[in-house]
Amino acid sequence: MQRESIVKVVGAVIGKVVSRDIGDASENTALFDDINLDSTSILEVLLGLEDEFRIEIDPDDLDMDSFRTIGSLADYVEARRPLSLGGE
Amino acid sequence: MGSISNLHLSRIGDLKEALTGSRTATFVWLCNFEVEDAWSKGFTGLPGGGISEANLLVQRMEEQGILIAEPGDYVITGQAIDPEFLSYLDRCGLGLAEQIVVGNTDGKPTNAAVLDSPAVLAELRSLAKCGAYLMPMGVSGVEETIAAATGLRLAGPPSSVCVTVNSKIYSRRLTDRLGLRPIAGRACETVDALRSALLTDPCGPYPLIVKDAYGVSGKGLLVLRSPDAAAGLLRMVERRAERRGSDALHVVVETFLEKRFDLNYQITVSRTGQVTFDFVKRAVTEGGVHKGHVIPAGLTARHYDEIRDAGLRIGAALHGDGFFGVAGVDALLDAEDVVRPVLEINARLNMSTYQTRVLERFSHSQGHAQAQQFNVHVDGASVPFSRILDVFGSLPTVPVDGEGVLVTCFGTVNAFAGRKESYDGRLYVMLFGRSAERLQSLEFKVAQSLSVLSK
Repeated sequence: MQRESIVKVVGAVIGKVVSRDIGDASENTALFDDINLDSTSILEVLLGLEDEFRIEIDPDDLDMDSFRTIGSLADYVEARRPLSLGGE
Repeated sequence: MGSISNLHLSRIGDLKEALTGSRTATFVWLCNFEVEDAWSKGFTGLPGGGISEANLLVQRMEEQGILIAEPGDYVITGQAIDPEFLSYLDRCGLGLAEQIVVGNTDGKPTNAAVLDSPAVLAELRSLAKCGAYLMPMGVSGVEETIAAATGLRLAGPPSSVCVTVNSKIYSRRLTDRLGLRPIAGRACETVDALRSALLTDPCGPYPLIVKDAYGVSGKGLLVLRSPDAAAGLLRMVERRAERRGSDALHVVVETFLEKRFDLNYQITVSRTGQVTFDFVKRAVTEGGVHKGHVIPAGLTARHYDEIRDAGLRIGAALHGDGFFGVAGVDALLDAEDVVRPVLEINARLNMSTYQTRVLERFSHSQGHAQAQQFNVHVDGASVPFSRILDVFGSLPTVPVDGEGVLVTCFGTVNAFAGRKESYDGRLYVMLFGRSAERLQSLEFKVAQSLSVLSK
């Protein structure tokens, strides 16, 4: 899966959680300031990412830096992607 | 209950007497919003609870202490309250307390920054010598340390009691113990108990709501719409338990209940165990996040009596468990018009507590009032308080004869000024009308006026 696709899927997961289309979001879109993601939604996003990317997320490893932008969350996902998805 | 005059307004003198035995005690108010963060330490909740940043906006809500403190009292704030806003409150005739400004908080919460400030500690020591009390919004270990370091007497119970009483697990058990009408659900203190409550023996139909025992205002809450979603959560919780070598958990699972509206009521428990039912208000919430209050709540006499009775019984039980002070209880009137008297018990002051003196001063005997918040978009420089008064135009910004709008918290507008180039700040107001219709008309005008400041 290419970087562009990862960013798109991360955006789609977040869009589902906040119940609106954020199709115009980019790597630099800020999750809290631009999308108004709130702290109640973080866990929902993580569960969505686990499902979509078939990865295991340990929230204890995560800090706010991974939640700044769609790009930083995509970085986190990319670092944990199973190899079986690597060539998609 | 048809009017504000039917409510018992918990005057600050009554509160001082209940907590100290003297109506004229000097209080040093420390409005430590987010005290739950300290209370939750050591209790495992939903995964991801640690992912958060210091919320400067919530910290600035502490300036509401100036609304509740009496002249002669002191209010500790991280930053000085805007002088224009203070002067406005003074013009409104509220009568102001002295401020103790910590100043350079270095990103820390105000209570922690107090302990780093020799000047503030010295000032508090001198107030302690005059017999003043430390009156926190809620008592945590930090407030106990401040009291010990300065000699100020604490006007509240030990933090260990607050930790016990504030837990949603305690709320559920107390509801059962008192035979009050419960919300269907279960307390879960192990991973197995959570699995049972969600999957193997679910406490009700989906959606099911999982709440941290110490979550506050929408934080630490997850709505699960299907068993598949629950299985995803359980996988994450089980992996964490395995990593940590502990299956301890502190959450509650509850069924979703259709409601007519939320309620918030307050009781004051004196040191000696006398319980006063202070008020009940309609609470406005969105997704579990507090948005405001409506007064009167619009309850029938039967509903009011049921809530008052629950409040008095809860207060007596809290005192039996070592608590005294102000406790706020969240409740609701369900879609069948049935009171559910306990969603959770908060062992601290609540947003509605800060309205006490404002309501006493400005509400008409048969009037209506509403606490509301509005987003104010800030681009670059701070918004001066005069700009807020300007956009209100001819609306009465000093309520007279039960009519008008009062700004109750302004620091939250400029909370991120100088840190972020563009953000939504928050303005808190209280609206007063002599009838429900006049209040509605005022609300429309206020929203219209403030819309020029939104994004």
